[in-house]
Amino acid sequence: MKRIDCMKVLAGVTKENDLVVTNLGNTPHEWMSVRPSKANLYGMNLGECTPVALGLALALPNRRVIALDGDGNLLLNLASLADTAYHKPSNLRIIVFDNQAYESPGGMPTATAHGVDLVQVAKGCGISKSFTASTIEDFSEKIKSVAEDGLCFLVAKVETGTIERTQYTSMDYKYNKYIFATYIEETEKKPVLRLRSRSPFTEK
Amino acid sequence: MKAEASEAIVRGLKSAGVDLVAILPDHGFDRVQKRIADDPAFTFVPVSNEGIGVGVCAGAFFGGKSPALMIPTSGLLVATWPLASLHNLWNIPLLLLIPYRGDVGDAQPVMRTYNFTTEPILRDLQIPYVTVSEVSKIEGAIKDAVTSSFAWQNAICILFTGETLR
Repeated sequence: MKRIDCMKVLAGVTKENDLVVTNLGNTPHEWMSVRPSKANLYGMNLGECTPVALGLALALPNRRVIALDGDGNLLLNLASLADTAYHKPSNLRIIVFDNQAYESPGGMPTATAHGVDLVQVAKGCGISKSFTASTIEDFSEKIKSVAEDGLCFLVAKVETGTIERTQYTSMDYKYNKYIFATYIEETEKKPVLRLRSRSPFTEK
Repeated sequence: MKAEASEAIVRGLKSAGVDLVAILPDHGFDRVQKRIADDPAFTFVPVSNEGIGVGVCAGAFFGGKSPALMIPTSGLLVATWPLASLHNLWNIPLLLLIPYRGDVGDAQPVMRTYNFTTEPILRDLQIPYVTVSEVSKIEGAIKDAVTSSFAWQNAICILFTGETLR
């Protein structure tokens, strides 16, 4: 099963205002190609995809937040599953594309290649709606949980490999920060950046 | 930390508009952390390691919250990775509150190391910081830190020491 094919299925059930947080590496490029949107927050570095999605979900309990994490990224902060289960945000969905490898830096196997079962970890933490999908048909069926209420955790067992990137595809994450923050300001009608034009040091 | 210092922190957080606090338990902050946990003005987010707390605060910022992270002095070492790869790289605001264990006057031998790590790490991460040693200065320091944090789109740290910790 290819990650890009899973993403095409996911994009089909993703609402326009769903907020999607991705990890680094190939995932943001692939997700951008199937669902380009201001509602995407790309490029969470190792260990930070699920924590950032958790914080976003807690801050906006009425918005659905989808984390597109990876096995290597999640393993660095595996305790984020415990914290997610602790707070149980019903608007958060975590999808892990598990290719059993640190693909971007060369393909060294991750612990999931040696038997670590992330779904069992999630269940052990208390995320009862935790599933594995190994075929695209299976993924298409399990992804229906995204549409239902409640926290869920889905591990998609995918092959290594990715789509061909355009040579000059830009992925400036700080630029994306401002796009995403402005989008939240517009759609939630609340300040995010809170930039100022005057300083208390000079105000009378 | 005395009750008056805890109350000053809570007043400062409220007057600065902080509405989400992620924490890892710390002896220096135990009273104020319990106080915040019981206060409905705050979304209270205990986490299992400081790196997760940094990420949660970043996500909360994007969701329109004004977040603060209260962590032990030692926890700053754990938090360095996301503070560098998220907050420094992307310029994300954050109020970082740390009891300055290991400051001169601390009699715990195990805290000595943090005298050598805390301020250099903050400087290396380009996180401006102020050291507050008087209870009367707490509220204003928090308000100033949050103001600059959003204006500069940068994390700002307050180190608590002296009478604020006693």
